[in-house]
Amino acid sequence: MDDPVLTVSRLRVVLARNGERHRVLDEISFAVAPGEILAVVGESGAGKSTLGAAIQGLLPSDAAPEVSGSIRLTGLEIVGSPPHLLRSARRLLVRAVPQDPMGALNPTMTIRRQLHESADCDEALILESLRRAGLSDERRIAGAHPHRLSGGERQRVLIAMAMMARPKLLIADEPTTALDVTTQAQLLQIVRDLAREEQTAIIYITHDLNVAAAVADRVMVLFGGRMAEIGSLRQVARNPRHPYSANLFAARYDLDTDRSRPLPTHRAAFRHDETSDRGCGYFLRCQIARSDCSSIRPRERRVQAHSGLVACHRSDEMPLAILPVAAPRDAWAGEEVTAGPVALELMDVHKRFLADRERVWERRRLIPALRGVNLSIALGQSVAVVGESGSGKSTLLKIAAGLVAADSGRVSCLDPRPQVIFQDPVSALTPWLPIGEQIGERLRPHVTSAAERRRRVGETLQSVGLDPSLMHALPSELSVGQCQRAIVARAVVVPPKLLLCDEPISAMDVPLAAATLNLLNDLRRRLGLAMLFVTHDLAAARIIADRIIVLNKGEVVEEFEANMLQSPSRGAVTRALIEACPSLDAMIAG
Amino acid sequence: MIRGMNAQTNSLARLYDGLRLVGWSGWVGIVGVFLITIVALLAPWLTPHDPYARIAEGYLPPSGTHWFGTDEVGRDLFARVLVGVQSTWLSSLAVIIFSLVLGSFVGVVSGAIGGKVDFTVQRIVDLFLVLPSTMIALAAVAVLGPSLLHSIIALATFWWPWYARVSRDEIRRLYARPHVEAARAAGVAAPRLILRYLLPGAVPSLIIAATLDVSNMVMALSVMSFLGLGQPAPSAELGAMTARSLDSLTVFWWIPMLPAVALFFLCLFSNLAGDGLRAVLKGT
Amino acid sequence: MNPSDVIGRVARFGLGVFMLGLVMPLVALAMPANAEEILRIPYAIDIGTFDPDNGFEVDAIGAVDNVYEGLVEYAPGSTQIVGLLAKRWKISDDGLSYTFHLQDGVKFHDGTALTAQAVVDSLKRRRDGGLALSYMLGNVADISTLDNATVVIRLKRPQNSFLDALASAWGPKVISPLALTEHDTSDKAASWLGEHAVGTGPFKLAEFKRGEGYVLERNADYWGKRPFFDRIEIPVVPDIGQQILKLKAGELDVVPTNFPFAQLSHLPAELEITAAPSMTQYALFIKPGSPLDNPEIRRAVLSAINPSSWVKDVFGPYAELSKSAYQNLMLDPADPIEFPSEIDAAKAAIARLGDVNVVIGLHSGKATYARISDRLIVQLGLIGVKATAHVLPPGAAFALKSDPNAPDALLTISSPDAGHPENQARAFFTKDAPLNFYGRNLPEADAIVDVAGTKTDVAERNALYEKAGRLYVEAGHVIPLVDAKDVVVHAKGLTDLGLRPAFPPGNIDFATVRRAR
Repeated sequence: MDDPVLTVSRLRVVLARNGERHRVLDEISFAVAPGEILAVVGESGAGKSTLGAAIQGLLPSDAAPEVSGSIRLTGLEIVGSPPHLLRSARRLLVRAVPQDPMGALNPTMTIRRQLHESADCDEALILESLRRAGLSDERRIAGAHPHRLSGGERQRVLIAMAMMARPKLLIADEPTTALDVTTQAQLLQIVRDLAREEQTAIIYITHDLNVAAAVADRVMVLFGGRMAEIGSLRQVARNPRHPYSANLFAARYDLDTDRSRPLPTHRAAFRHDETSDRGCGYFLRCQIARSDCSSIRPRERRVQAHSGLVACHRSDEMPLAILPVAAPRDAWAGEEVTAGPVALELMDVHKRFLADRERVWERRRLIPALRGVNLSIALGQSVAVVGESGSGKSTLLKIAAGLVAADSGRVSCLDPRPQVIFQDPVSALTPWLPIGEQIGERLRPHVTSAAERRRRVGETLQSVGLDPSLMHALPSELSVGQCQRAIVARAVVVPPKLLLCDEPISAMDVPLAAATLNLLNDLRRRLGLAMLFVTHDLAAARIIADRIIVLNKGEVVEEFEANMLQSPSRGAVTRALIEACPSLDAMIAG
Repeated sequence: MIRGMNAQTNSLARLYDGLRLVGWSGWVGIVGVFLITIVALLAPWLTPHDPYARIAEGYLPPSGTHWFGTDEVGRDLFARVLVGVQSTWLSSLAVIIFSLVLGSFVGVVSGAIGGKVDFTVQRIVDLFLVLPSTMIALAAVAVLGPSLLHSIIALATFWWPWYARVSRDEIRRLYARPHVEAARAAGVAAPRLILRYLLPGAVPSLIIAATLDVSNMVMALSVMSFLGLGQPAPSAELGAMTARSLDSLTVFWWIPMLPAVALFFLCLFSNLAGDGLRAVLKGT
Repeated sequence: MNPSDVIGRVARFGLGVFMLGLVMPLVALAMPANAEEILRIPYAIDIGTFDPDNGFEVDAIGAVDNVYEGLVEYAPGSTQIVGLLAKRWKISDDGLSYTFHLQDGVKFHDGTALTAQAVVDSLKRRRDGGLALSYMLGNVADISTLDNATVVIRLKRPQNSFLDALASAWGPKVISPLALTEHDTSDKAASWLGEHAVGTGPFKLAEFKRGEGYVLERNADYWGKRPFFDRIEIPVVPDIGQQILKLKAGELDVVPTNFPFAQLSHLPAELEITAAPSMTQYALFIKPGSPLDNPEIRRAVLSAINPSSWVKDVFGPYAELSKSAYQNLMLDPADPIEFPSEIDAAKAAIARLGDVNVVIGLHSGKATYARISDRLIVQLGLIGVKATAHVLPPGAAFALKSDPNAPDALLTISSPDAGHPENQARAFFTKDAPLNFYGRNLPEADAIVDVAGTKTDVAERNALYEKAGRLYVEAGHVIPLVDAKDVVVHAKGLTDLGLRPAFPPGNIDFATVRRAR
């Protein structure tokens, strides 16, 4: 291996948050070679983004960061460097592609000028890099302002900008989270090419194991600011030696996962701060922890199973028979409902929106969002709507929920007040009200007695896998997963006929997404709800739904049983979606 | 996020977390405001001498017996400053609280109803906000005749629209948030939605705005009394005390200076307290 | 009135010229030839109009009187009337005809010579012009020339205060006839004269910058004694505090008036005080129907506010108790009024009579009003009367008659336009007096004033005025408090300020003031 581009050793970062100091990164050591792609995975709050910021010397100054250890970038020490050195390092050596492309672009300048400022190069090179970043109409893009571009286009502009500087190291922090699968697939290909052709070292931060599998050579698993395991991706995926990585990889699902039974995952829900300073950080969650795990911090050790490192006292005992610890993996009870009363029916629904004016004197054009959509969901049935962004799937959900009126066509819903589960569970809860009160709101018209309401809320909490005592907790005391369960509890406390889910798992890491899918699947079967599940994730759609509807440019292009997803008779749009789906298992197998 | 394993994230701990954010300057302000309020409420019992009676020679400089000296007439300046702090502080609080309550009510209702009502109310609020409120209040008092009550009424009349604007903007901001959408989807009735789901979200901003505004009000009232539009003599108002003895600044400095210093501390403490509260409530 | 004085003046003038002739060469040798003597004196209130017939200027009347001259004047520092443009005069036995013999060799600033006709024109302008001060010659029947240097004025009725009216600070002045005709745009030249001046006085108006300041320059061709100062610079400095700071910094030579009494004992060494007797009487005018109408309450209140208990605290040595409704300098009463001083009895009376609330209005925001009213409030508090005070808006004092919310008492300075008891009574007390603030009416006292106006014997007439004044006081129309002195604070060495008791305070005579060597 060549000399590493980046060598991080014993990196510790302490940040002040809300006046309290937190050790966000704790003794992290690793190296990245030229042309290598290292995926950094872990749940939210594991310190992934802080790592990226620390390498760039961009830790937020209002958090009063304390950094110790060493970050050497092609021989240049980042830790403790004066600002002008950090600036030139950022200009010449390390570039970043952030999660939010709009925030990284200057809204008042054309793309051409921004690229020009960033790399100081001529027009031909600008157009060339835009083309290489997968933007075929590079001239239009170069002349446009950022707000005229789509999310995928902006992300690609940022990659072009990063590439033009020919950096030694590229840090990509969840660059595809907000993009749909086909765009994501293209971007991943661009990132791979960049590493191969330019010998750029890449740190790819993601919560999505399938994405990591699609792009990375090696993987580093972070937990609670510490490194749990690092090694070749293929080997770690096959042979995880840390119980956390084992859980992580076991909970993944893709297009080939068994959909007749629940996904393998933890049943228990955790408070987000249940980590430990002394001993092993994973001690409280670990199924195989012994007494010394709580007092002695595990050193990173080489393991026999793969060429990487692992920090666990009991890694030799892996894999364990009891892992993954999961809910009873019996198949879902009951036959799939095929004929019942229709809970939601859309007939030839059209909807158009006013476009923004391109010029002030122009008439605002109408953009069709839905063009003659037909859809029907029987009670007890679950239908997933998939499609790229802009295909009209969110509009469809809003029309079904009654939040938006259709221009024409018939919408009939069995339930006058269908319940919606939103994408971000934390922001969908009122921060200052105990969750029990928020869940109980829907009981108010039906149940006047406060004690009775409390009892019903407790029952519902239990049915979504939450401790009933949490009804007195505020949302900020819950983890993201618990918030998602609370929202589901609010939706089902008075069982609706129709449950609408708007991308409920798109921002979640794998175990949480799996647990959420299990929960929804369980509830809709137990309560006999009709469910409309809007997602861009085909794998999730396949697991949750009985039927999948593929939407493209406002039209239903295909509708099929979930089991038949991989059938060779699928249309071109569906096949493109399937191909764009990164798959860990396929990668491991291949 | 790494935290001690025993960290209890219950509300008490959250409150404690919040208090840590206040910072020393915030604490100075909060303690100062608290003490000022106590002093203001107890002023009649704290004054060492009758603030309205001649108890010694005039123009005595500060000393052990008369901490702030005596004024032109021979009244105890410390007693007069205390009484001045009382009237200025309590009437500032009164105007602010009145404006806060009225403004929030108008703003919250207008924001929650939305549509034409909101539009109309906001244009009225705009109208008030573009007027130079202190100037008009001054003019109004000049017409009504100088008295503390008139000052309070005139200022309150022109002060509440600011709170209507703040609360209305907060409500509209909250209204677009998913959790309020979710509450509406759950069928929460309008009054309950306003009181439980919207108002608590607007309260921090309103409290911050109000705390930082107290010093503006102290200044507005003092400017009025400085210009002779406050209470008639012999009442002790900080602005009037400063104004009336300003010509003796170079000789009997304590007579105009000490009331002005008291005024300075009223404004300083309420500003520091506002900044401290902002740190707690907004986390910045 | 006293010809010997006029002669004395001329004699002094001659001696002065002689001495000047001796001294001048020495002075010229001793100092650079172009060194100008400049006096810098601030005005707190801007000049409204410089027209001597058309404005009731208070601060600025001294400047007007140094540019224009009348027939007679008060001698500096006294209420004695001496000749000015008239070198002597004669009053007919019936008191109706006044004959003035004019000074020789007097020239206006524009070079025209003073003639009897010019005096007649100016007096007629004053009487017939419909101007602000026309009322002062309301009793004049006829003005005519006897010859080119003699003017005869005939009155409608005898008026023993007529010479005082002529000598008053606001008395009629002689304006250049040339200027009057040149600038008469059917307004008697009032608008031009508002900002310009052509008189005969020792100073010319050189600069008139409204709101900024004014400059007077010495009149090189002045007929009388040459003034010491070549130039008088008069910046407008409204704030007394600023005036004091500028004085201390040496940017001004004088603070003419309103210097806080309490600070007078703390002056720095380079400043000194000139105090002169003045007709500045502080008095309370009482609203009809106020609690003070009740004689018991009034007696209690008078005990409380007895000025002898506080005059020293407020004014130091610069005021004395008022002896009557007239200024002490105007009329020395045989039987001075006295305040009771039975505090305990007063307290008991108020306790018996129940709550008494008194609102005092202050004529203006001047510090002395506040000092007095603060002290009155404290004194009234001693006997249990709750008093408050507030400053009246500008002009409000003149509209109290029609104001239902008028304060119970008005604290004001009662000083007339001339130093004669007639002027005082007719300005403040009689039924139709312009400054009878509350419009009160006491016919029997008014009748005595009418009788007094016809008497020529000074002692007899003063006794009548005193009697009328006592009636007004006893009826509770007015409570005279103190007579304050005219206090000017100035750089050390300034002398001969020529402060006249009948002039408003601080009106320095620029013609006499000089630096002591």
